[in-house]
Amino acid sequence: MSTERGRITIEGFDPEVVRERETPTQEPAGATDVAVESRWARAWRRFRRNRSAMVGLVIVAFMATVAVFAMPISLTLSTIGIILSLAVALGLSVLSRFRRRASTLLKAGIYGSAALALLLAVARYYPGLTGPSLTVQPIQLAPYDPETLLWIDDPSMERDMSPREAGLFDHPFGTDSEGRDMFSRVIAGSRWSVSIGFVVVTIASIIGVAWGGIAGYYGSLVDEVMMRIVDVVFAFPALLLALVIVFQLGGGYFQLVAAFVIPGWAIYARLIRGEVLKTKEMEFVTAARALGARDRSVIFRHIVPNSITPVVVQASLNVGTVVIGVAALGFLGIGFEAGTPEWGHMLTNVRESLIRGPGASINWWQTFFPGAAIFTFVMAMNLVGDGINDALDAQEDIEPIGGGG
Amino acid sequence: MALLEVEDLVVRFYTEEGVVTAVDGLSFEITRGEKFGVVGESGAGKSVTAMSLLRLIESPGRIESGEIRFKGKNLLEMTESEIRNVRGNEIAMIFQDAQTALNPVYTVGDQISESIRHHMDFTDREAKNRAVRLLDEVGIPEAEERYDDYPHQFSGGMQQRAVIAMALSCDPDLLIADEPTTALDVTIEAKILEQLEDLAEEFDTAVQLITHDLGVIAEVCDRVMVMYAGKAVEKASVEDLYYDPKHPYTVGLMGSIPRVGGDSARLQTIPGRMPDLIDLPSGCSFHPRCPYAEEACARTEPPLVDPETGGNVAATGERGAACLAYTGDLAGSLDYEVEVRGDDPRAEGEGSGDNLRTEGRRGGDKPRTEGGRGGER
Repeated sequence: MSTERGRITIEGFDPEVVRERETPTQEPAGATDVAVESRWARAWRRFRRNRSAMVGLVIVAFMATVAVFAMPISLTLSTIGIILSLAVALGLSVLSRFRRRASTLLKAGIYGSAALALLLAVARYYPGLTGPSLTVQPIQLAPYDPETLLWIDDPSMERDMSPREAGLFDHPFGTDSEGRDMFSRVIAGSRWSVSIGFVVVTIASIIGVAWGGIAGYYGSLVDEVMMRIVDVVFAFPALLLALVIVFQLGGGYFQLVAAFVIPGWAIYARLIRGEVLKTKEMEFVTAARALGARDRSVIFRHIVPNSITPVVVQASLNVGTVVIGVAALGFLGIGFEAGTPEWGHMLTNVRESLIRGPGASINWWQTFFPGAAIFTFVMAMNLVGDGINDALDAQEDIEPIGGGG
Repeated sequence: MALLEVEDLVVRFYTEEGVVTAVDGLSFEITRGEKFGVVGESGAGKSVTAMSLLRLIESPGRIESGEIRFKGKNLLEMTESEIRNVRGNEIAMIFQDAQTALNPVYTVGDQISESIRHHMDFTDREAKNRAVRLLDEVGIPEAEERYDDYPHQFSGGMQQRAVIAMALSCDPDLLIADEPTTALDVTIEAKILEQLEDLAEEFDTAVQLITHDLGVIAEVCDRVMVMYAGKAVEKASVEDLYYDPKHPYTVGLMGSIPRVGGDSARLQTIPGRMPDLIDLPSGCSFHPRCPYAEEACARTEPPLVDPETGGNVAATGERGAACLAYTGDLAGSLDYEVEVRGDDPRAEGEGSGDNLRTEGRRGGDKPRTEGGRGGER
């Protein structure tokens, strides 16, 4: 074996000529002209082009606005205190990302305001400590109180009045079997259905992402134990589990939220875990660790943002499912006080009086409007979800077949 | 005291197929400001060694034994938060594939200033200024504007520069470059290597350069360690290694460098391939591929000895080769010859070792680099 090899010698090619030439023949191309666009901005641009998704978004936005302004909102001082101190804590922790030097003071502020929120939450259980109520949203779109039985005070009113009988402008959706204004009830009911869908999905996905992110990142035994717990949750039919939980906790808004979060977070955990397993093998994760990042920041700053897409899609499609679930519980009469203006619950109120034998009229308006409200919202939400799915899909130029979801 | 002393490092991976001994009793040291090359085929344990230095070996891998002393402190005994402080701050790493080493969801600038904020007591603005300066220093044009670009808006060469800027962000004392230029074409490779050298000089940073490319080693390094199957088979200064290789494996590696104008019709290779690390050959792990192998080679594992005296070399040893030829156990002799065309720089100091690929590259690629601006975008 010899290391002797041939060589090529080139003569006459003088790079100095290029270097010494006065006028450069070629300016470096200006790549900086290209607008910098984050992937969320790009997704939004693509979402906007999707007509059905935009229609869905408009409907959802409209119904959410109606939900906020349907009835006045008044909060007790302690509730306002909780919200404010949580906002301060959040704001300070965002601020602490940008400053390093005042970190001790900032930390004190963050923990202090979080502790204050906790203290106020505890205080709520002692009547007298909650303080007076404050109306934070005075507007009322609903023309009547949704729970007032109109026929008691108004002799001209009856129960079961159709929109035509009651007057299209006074009671456009008619009255129900208790003589309450259907229009007001449908509007006020959006507060339950719309908000509960978003609240449940937000909480469930945060829990699920944290759970699945940790399981996927640490792997081995941690993963095994955490994912078996997820499997246990999956073993129950979601609605059945929700039913049991509501039976245990009793009715009420946050009881319902819990009833849907407890079976609902598992899907997010499973989704994100799979993505994390894929993402954590990428070199930037090792690079981040090689630069001394903590596990916490590796998981939540580097891995999760690169794995979140399927969770966002799932969450947006899941809102509708939760709303239907809430309506189903309402229809079964579980989780709500009698007379609560919740869409599903309104359907059950008229279940017995809907068809009353030969010759009697059918009170179609009592089921149509709440049912239409559920349908419209869930439908719109699914359109939005599909739009998000398509917008986040990496293959920009390929038209999706069938629309996903 | 050397900056980094690695002593008897053993790293094993417990896979389902068996126990892989990726690094087996490796010792070496790097002094301050030195450029230390690690060379070997794929699977020789180069990258695992590098990851061990930052304690980044993940399950199922484990650092079984040995010591890694950095500035006299054993990294393997540090707490998790102490080692985090070393990572990035004192020992930084440049990764092979810059495209995946940058997080696609953050801007390049963000990623650089994040580690600055993390390790140094800097405010947001100071960190940004420093990051822009670093980007500028590694040769990214219009650094201020490019700060807000996402990694996908950078070309391969610029991504690699950004990764280097990231590694340099906290003035590390040791820079581990794991095949920093393998993914790049040769013109950009030459530029980046040159820049790496300059920057290391400027910041007085020691560099551990890992590569399978002997040409890169020749261009950059002061001392070289040749690894085979998790062990060091030869250690030498770069001139000694090229002009007077002592281990048959090193000779084989050098023989297989393809060269334009070579008179052999086909590429020379080392026969066979890297042995299965689960089930290493007995004795010298290179003997199945070694043209000089004798019976003794299958029986006795050669220690790393001084090829002149045959005596043991310490980790600090200047020159060492792990072959039985130098312990007197080999009946035959290693009868290869190295012919050096041109001057031998060992004899004449800063002469041009123009038998080396280095020179061909420096002379031949420069003009293309200058003209090939388009490739940078």
